[in-house]
Amino acid sequence: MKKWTTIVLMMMCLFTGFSFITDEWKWEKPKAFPPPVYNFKNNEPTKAGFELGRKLFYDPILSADNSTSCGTCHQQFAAFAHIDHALSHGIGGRIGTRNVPSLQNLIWNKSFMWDGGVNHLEVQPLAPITNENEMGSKLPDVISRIKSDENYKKYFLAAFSDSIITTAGIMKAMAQFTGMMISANSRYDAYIAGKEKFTEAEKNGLKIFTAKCGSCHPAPLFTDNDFHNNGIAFDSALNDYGRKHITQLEADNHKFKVPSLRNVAVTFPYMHDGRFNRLKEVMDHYSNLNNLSADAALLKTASMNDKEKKDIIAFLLTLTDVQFLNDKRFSDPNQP
Amino acid sequence: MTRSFIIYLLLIFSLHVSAQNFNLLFRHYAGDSGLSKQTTYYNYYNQPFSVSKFKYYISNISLTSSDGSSIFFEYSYLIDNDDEESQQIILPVGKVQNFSSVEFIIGVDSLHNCSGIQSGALDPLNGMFWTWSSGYIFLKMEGKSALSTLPKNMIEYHIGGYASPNTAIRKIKIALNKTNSAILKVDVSKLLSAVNKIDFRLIPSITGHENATIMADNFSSMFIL
Repeated sequence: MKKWTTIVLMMMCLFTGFSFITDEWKWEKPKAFPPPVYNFKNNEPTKAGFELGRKLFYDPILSADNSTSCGTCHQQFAAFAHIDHALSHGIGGRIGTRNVPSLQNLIWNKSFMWDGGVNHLEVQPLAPITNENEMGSKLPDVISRIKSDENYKKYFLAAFSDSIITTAGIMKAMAQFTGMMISANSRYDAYIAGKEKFTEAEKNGLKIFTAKCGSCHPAPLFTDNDFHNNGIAFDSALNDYGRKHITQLEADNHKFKVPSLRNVAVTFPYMHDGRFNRLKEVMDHYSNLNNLSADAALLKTASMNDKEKKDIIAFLLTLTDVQFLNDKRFSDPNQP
Repeated sequence: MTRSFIIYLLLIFSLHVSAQNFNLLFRHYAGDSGLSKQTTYYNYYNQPFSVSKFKYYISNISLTSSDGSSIFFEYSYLIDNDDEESQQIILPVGKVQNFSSVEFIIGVDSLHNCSGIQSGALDPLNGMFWTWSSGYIFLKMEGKSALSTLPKNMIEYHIGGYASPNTAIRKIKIALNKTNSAILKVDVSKLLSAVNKIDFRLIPSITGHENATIMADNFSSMFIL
């Protein structure tokens, strides 16, 4: 009898893909998505690595005064953007110069930040951690604080078979966590798969959107991951030249990275400085564009009528991925 | 008799073992004087300055023999004026000896600037990685000059950038005398004046991509055998 129990258990392990034996984190690339840019090379995702990343993401220990975690500004219900906040908030009431971007489908990004200044998912957290207007920390202090927290030793041991806290360990764990934030299950995705019906307004909106907005916001990622000048007026108080800060090229002046429009209903306010609160304002901007330096693709958006704007908005609302916004795997482990 | 024989054997053995490595040493100078934090030096324009920090990356060292064959080391090393141990690079070369030239880049190559989080010399903990524009600071030189209008008269040069048209990566080739060691003089005065002459009143700092090539163009001339 015992012999059979063992055999049955072994068979179960085989059929469930060894998940009882190994700690492998299985994930599937959404069919319609292209191959990811970041492939977890030298950073094989495991449940332990993911959970360490998640613990770090929601831990204010990364901030100089232990007040601010990544999760403070990157809120899951807002697709990890910061709902209703135009500019980023930091320690000590400090305010930054840019809007908190959503965190979704990051492994398809070629660069990060509104100016594309960060070139790899694994080094992204270093920017907000050390920025004095955000978490205001010095990297050696972060490592010290984490080393002093007894709980982290067992998380690191589980994730990397080594309880020693290293920069690489912290960053890789966070990449395992944030890299898994994949949003591909909206009503739009279901519609494309033939499993969901669209209203006439949503269908019309999709059609107009594809024609007028699709060059910078193409499906399935709804961003071309490139930098464009969308014609919004320069704000001399913020003095933000966008991509030019990074490349020093005049041609990159006033260009910012195109954000993905997935979950756009919950990532307001909009634009790199959060100047537009509602999608209607965004539509009005694009249809009244009168800026010669704006990207040529925007000639297509000029003069949209009210019905077209309404239908585009109806379509944009179908990009909300309720499953992603509520996925418990990405929620704050410190909250019940 | 046996004792001297054993000592003789040990000597031969140790010589054989040391012949397994190529030793590359970096000695820091300002002009003809050894670099010291307490000394005031003078630049091309006779402006006084002192140096409190001087560190830089050396990467992708290649040792070539007289027959044309070479050994390549795809590593980055951080040479730090404050860390004597870092000023010597020991390269395992097996039985090969008598190299005729050494080549390396000053900085970190593009690939490693884009490879995500790395450890050892390339760990951001070394303070040589820009978080706002991913990439390594290839060379850091900090100090003071009475001619600098920056706070506390500081002069601060953080030179990096791997993307064209402003890449600060520079390559250098140095001829050797068929040897298995080389001591390179690294002259901070050349860093400030070899090709482009730095005037502390005009350029007391370079901390981003702008103007980085002004100083990077002086890199190769810094290293003299």
